[in-house]
Amino acid sequence: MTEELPEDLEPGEYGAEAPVTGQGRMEAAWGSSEGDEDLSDTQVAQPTSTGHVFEQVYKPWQGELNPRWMRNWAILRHHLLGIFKKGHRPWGMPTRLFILVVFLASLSDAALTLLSGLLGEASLHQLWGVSRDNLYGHVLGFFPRNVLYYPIIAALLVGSVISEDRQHGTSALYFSRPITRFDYVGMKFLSVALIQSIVVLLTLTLYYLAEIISLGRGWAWILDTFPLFLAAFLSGVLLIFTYTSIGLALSSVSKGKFFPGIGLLAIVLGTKVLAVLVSTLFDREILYLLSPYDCMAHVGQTIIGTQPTYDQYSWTWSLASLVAMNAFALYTLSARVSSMEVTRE
Amino acid sequence: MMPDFDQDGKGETKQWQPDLTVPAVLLEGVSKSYGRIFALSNITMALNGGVTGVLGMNGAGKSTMFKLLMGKLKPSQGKIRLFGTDPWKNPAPYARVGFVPEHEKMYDWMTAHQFVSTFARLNGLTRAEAGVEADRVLNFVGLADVAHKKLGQYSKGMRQRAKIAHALVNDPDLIILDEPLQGCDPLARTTIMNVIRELGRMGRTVLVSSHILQEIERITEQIIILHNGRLLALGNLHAIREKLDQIPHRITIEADDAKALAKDVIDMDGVQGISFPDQKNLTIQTHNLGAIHAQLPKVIVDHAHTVHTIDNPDDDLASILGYLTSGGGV
Amino acid sequence: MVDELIIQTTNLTKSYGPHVALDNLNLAVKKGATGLLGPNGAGKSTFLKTILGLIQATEGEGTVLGHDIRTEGDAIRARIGYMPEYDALNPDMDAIHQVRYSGELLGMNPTIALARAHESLQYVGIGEQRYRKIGTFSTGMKQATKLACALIHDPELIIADEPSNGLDAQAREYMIKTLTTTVKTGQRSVLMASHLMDDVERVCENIVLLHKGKLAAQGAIVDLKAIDREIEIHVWGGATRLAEAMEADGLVVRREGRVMRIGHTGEDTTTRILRCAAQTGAQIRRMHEYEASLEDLFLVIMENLGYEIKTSEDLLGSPALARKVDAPAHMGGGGA
Repeated sequence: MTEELPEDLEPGEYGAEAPVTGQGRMEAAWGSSEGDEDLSDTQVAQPTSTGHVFEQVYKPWQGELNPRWMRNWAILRHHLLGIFKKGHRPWGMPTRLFILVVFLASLSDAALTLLSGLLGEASLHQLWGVSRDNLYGHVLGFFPRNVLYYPIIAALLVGSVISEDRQHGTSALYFSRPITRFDYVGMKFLSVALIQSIVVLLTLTLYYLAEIISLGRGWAWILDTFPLFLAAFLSGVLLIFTYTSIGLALSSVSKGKFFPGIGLLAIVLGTKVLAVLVSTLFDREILYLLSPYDCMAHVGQTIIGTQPTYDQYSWTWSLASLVAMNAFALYTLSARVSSMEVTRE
Repeated sequence: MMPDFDQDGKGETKQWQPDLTVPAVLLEGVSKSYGRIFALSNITMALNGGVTGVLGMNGAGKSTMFKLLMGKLKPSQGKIRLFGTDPWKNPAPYARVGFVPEHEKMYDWMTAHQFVSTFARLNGLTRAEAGVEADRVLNFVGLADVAHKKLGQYSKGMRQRAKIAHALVNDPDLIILDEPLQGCDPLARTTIMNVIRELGRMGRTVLVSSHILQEIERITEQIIILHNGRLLALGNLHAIREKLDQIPHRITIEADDAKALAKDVIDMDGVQGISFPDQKNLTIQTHNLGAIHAQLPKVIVDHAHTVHTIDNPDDDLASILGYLTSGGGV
Repeated sequence: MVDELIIQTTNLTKSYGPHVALDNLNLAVKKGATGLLGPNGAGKSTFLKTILGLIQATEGEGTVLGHDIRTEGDAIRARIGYMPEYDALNPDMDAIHQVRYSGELLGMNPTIALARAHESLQYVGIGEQRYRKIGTFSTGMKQATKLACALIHDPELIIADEPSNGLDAQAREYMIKTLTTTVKTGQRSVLMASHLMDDVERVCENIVLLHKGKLAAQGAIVDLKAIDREIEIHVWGGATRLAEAMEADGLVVRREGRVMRIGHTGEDTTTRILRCAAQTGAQIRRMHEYEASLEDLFLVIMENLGYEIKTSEDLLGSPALARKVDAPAHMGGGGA
């Protein structure tokens, strides 16, 4: 803060540019001039600037503005740090509490792995330790993770992340500054996705590390299981991306806070319930293609290599459906953001 | 009485006669408190006819007073009468009242014409009549060519005018306007100010609030000053200023020879002090403004001074409001 | 230096389909304070958006601070401060954090942005309240916070859209003072769109008047005002007698209540007025040479463009009014 102070003060204003050296007195004492001045010429020194009242002074600033990446970093930081501390985006207390609760709950398998490592019981470890099914379950398990945890977090996060700018008119803050629409929406997307990945991907990594530490796994095991871990990680990325793009698309079409959240939950869970009903009543699984969660689960089962539960059609259909859903969501999002007014609508 | 379902104009209506014995607005000892906070305390006043400017800072109680008059709030104490009728839970007086609220919420999906004619029909006009009336008031506020556009597409000033149009459509006798000029361009502003003045002259009772003191000064001299929920002053603004006699009045005069004029002025009754801000100007201090002004033209003319300007810098709304609300006042 | 142009447009046109929002604008805005005037819907907002580089002009070109509005929107927006008309603040954030964030969005680093946020909030008159949530602020404080957001990077040009709208007398005074200080001692330029002519006149030296997307007038306020020599007096008591006496004396009197305007006939006009006052005993509370205000100028230009100020006859001359509906008697109606 203090280092730019000298820039703010213009020395001339204070009349203090001449350093006090005592030179003036010396000259007077030793008589450096001839001494035959014309007395009529003598002037009484008029102090030019005697004092300042700092009632309201415009303070200039001469700093350089940083380039684009710094602006984008500011948007990202604003949203990310808001989860942890005051002074950045004010996420609601319920949202922050829920993220903490889900973060801890997601770590339950890591904790149990550590516990089984401590107890040294092989049967317990088979139940809780890293395996194909458990890795799949960590990311894509339906209950409780994809009913109670991840979609709700996504819903809480996307709720107002774009709609608040419409509602409060804060879009003017962004668009009256050198920020492009792409950067704006990209950074919002990224920050929401990063918060979700703390809950999904960070816990997955911690789970994997817990296994290595508690059981002292060697390179051979790591080489064996790393592709599985990567596959689970990839499914996690897919999950976060899909929830975020659908959620933000909903947020961009509304002005309120609740519609996007409720809408996302309805899309994720509603289509799933509908597909399950149809599948059990008529034994037709094709409706699963409408459900983002089922498509992800199908793709995830294939790449992680667990027993597929969707067997009436190929996983490529699910992948294609996922791509279509994301494309539609991103299209809506970009169309809405590019037509967003600078000021409040 | 059968309701007029057909709406073709057969409904019983009657010619309205103003009743001059009952004041349009009567407040007697009205207080309104929210918990421990008194938004209005012990207001007593009666208004009948003419334009009254309501002044006060944000939070002075203006909006509370308007809400009480509109029957949206029940007074904690005291009684309120509009045309002799209690407005609380009683819509009867509102057939004669037009209200322009401050907030901007409107039915955005309606056109201005629909909006205004809907309110006209709520006042009991038939569909055909309501259409005519809506055209009339919309033309008046200058929205005739955009009357069939949705309110949602209107700019701030146009919305303000649509709000005024809806309040005038029933030709009210009491018109309450909360910040009517906000966001209007000078054309609309002048039009609306003219109309407010004219309505006052016709004997309608108009209550108008504005933050912009010069606007109030151009509309009316009759003012109410509210501060922290108290009624600080009511009446003609010059008369109010005279009442504030602990603060001396200043009269500034610009003359060719200020010093010579001062010599003649100093003999006048009521002069308490004279000062010279600069060569050409002369400031007279007095407690009796009227007495000085009554003598001043004669003194100037008799002694053949040349005077360019005369001014009372303290006799305007801004300084009255300043004196009264800075705590030093009455 | 003084005559340096900050905004310049040539044949700037913007149309939305058949609707022409800006029509061949040729503008030259000088350094200093400029008022952007025009009736509602004259194209002011469209103009501001165009020069911010936020919407593309259909035709024509323009520069702001030397940058092309069509291609260098980013560079323009980094060098100006925009204060929007409507709310543009997050009510859940503290003022200081909101202003700091607005600086970070420009690319300031967080430490500098915080220091500048303190400075600019102080400058616009928000002292200790800057640690409070914006949701608890009054309209005046919100406007000031918006201005602080716009000033944080010390822009060369501040574009303020209705800065004093909705403020009470005190807050308005401070806003005007702040803008004036910014222009006078800060040597910055201000482009101010406003309907409040008094405020524009106090801040700005120049105006640009738009009307239906066309340029209706531009230039220095002093030059545009025709000096119409009249003497205005405020009379207390005996106004009618005074008016008659003055007319008898051969003066031209226009009267609006206690305010009268008298045609300037020579150096002795004031003496003649005072003589009439002395004869009739009327008190002249104020007497000064009347100078046309910016509002008068605006109205004159608009009148030349075919607008008229409506009077109450337009409102009340309707025969439909003879029919007046009152509330039913059982509800307390009937003339009460």
